[in-house]
Amino acid sequence: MTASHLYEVSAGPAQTGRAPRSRSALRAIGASRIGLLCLPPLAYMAVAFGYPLGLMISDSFTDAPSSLANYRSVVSSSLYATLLWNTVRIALLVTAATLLVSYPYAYLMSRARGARMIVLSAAIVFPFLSSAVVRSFTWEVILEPNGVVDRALRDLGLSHPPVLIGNTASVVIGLTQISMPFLVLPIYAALVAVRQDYLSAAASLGANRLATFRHVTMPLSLPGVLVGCLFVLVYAMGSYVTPQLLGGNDSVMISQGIVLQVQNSLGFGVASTMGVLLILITVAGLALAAKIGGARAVFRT
Amino acid sequence: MSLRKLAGGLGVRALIIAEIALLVGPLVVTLILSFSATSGLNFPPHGWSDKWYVTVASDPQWRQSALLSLEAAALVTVVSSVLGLMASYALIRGRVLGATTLIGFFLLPLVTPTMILALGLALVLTAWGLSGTLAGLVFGQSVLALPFVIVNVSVSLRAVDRNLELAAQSLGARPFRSFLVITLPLIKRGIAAGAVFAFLASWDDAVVALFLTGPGFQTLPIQLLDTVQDFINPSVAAVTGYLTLVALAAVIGVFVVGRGLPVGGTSRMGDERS
Repeated sequence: MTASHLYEVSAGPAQTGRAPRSRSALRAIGASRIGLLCLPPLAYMAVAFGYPLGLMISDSFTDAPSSLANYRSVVSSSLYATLLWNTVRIALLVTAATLLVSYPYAYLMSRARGARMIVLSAAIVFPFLSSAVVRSFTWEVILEPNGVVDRALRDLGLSHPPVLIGNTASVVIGLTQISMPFLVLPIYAALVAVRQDYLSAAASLGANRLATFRHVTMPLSLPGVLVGCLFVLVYAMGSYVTPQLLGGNDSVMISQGIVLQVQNSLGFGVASTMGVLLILITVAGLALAAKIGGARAVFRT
Repeated sequence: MSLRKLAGGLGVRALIIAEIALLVGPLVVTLILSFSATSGLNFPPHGWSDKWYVTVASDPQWRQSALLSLEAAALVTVVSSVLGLMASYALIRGRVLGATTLIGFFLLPLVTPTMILALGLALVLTAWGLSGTLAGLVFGQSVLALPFVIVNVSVSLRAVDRNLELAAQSLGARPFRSFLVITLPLIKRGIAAGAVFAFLASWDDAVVALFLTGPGFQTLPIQLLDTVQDFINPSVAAVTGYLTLVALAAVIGVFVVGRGLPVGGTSRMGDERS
C-alpha cells in the first residue's frame, strides 16, 4: 500500500513541465516557496526519527566497556542466539500462515458483491478497531486454561486438552490474526485491478478458470502479495505485545529482550545492540524479498 | 466434475467462515464476557450485568489513564495532521528536488519495527528529561502517526486538479488563500482519514508509550498491558469494550465527514488502475 503511493506520488511533479510557458514562470516562484513548507516536517523527522536511530546505533558501541563489548557478549551468548532464532522463526511462520489464509480471503473479496462484500470487508476492517494489546488479550481470554476453547474441548470429552497458550503456536495464531488486514488489502487491491479483458482473452484462447487463474490472475497479483508479506514480516519481527501476552519460554522474541533490558535498568547499551540486530535482520528480510520478487515489482505495486 | 466443484466451493466457504470467526471471534467473545454478572470468565456468562463498566468508569486509575490517552491522541492527531499536510502539499505542489525520495523518507517509520522507534525515542527523550511527560509522549507517538497522514493526504491531493488553484490565483487570490478556499475543501476526506489513522496510532500504541510512561503516568493500553499480565477478569474486558467504542466512534466519524472507509486509499488505488 505504501510503495504504490510512492510510485503514484512521483508522477506529480513531472506534470509541471506540461504547463503553458507564461504561467510556468509565475508558478516556479510560488512552487519553490511552497516547497519550503516541507522543512518543518523534515526537521521533525530528523529529530524524532533519524537522530534516535543514530543515537541507538552509536550507543550500541559506546555504552559499553569497550567499543565492541556489547556485540561480543550478544554474539557469544546462547540466550541472544535463541531470541534471534525465535524472532526469525516466528516471523516466517506468521508470514506463511497469514499468506495462506489471506489469499483465498482476498480472492473471494475481489469477486464478492452486495451483502457478501459488506460482510467480508467489515470482518477485515473490524480488527483494525482494536489495538494489538486488545487483540492479544482477547486471544488470551479464548485460549487460557479454563477459557472458552479449553472448556469446549473438555465438553467434547477430552479429559486433558492440549495447552493452548504460552507457546509458539499461540503467538503465531495471535500475530496471524493481527496481520491479516496487512496482507488481504494489498492482495485485494491487486486482484480488483486485474482487467476483465485479460480474463476474457484467456477464456477465448481456451483456458479454463484454473488455467486463467494460474497464468493470468495469480502472476498479476504477486506484487500485492509481496508488499503485504513485507509488511507482515516487518511487523512480526518487531512485535512485542503479542509474544508477551500469548507466548511462553519457547517464544521469547528480541523485542521482549529489549524491554527486559530497559525496564531492569541494565543499561541501554545491550538493548541498543539488540535493536541494531533487529534492524539488520529486518533489512536482510527486505533485501531477500526484493531479490525474490525483484525490487522493481515492489515499487510498482 | 460438478460434484468436485461443489465440494471445492463448500471447502472455500467453510474456510472463509472459519477465517471470519478467527477475525472477529475473540473480540466478540471478550465483549460478551464484559457483561458477565460473575467474576469468572465463563462462556456464556451465567448472568448479565453492566457492573464491570461501572467499576472501571469509577476507578480513578483507569480514569486517569483514559484521560491521558485521550489527551495524547488528540495532540498527536493535531501535530501529525499539520506536519503531514505541510509535507504532502510541499512535496506534491512545490518543486522539490528529490520529492520521491523525501516521501519515501517520511514513510520509513511504517517499515521500521516499532520497538526500534520506541527504543531510539526512549534514549533521546530520557536524555532530554522528557520521558514521563505529555510533551515527550506526543513527540514520540507522532512519528507513528505522520506516515498515515501523508499517505492519505497525498492520495487525495493528487486527485485535485491543480488548474483549479491556478484559476483562483489568476483571479487574484494569494497562494495561501487559494489553498484555503479551493484545495482544503477538496482534500478534507483525505485529511479526515489521515486524522483518524493518526488518532488510532496513538490511541492503540503500547510500544512507544512503554518506555515513555511510568507509575502514575500511564496510557490506557499500557495500563491494560500491565493489568492483564497479572490477572484477567471481566473488568479488563470492560476496558476493552470502552476502547472499542472510542475506536468505533473515530471510524464512524470518517464515514460522516467523507463517505469512505479509512482504507479507502487502498481500494481507490485499485479502481484507478482497473
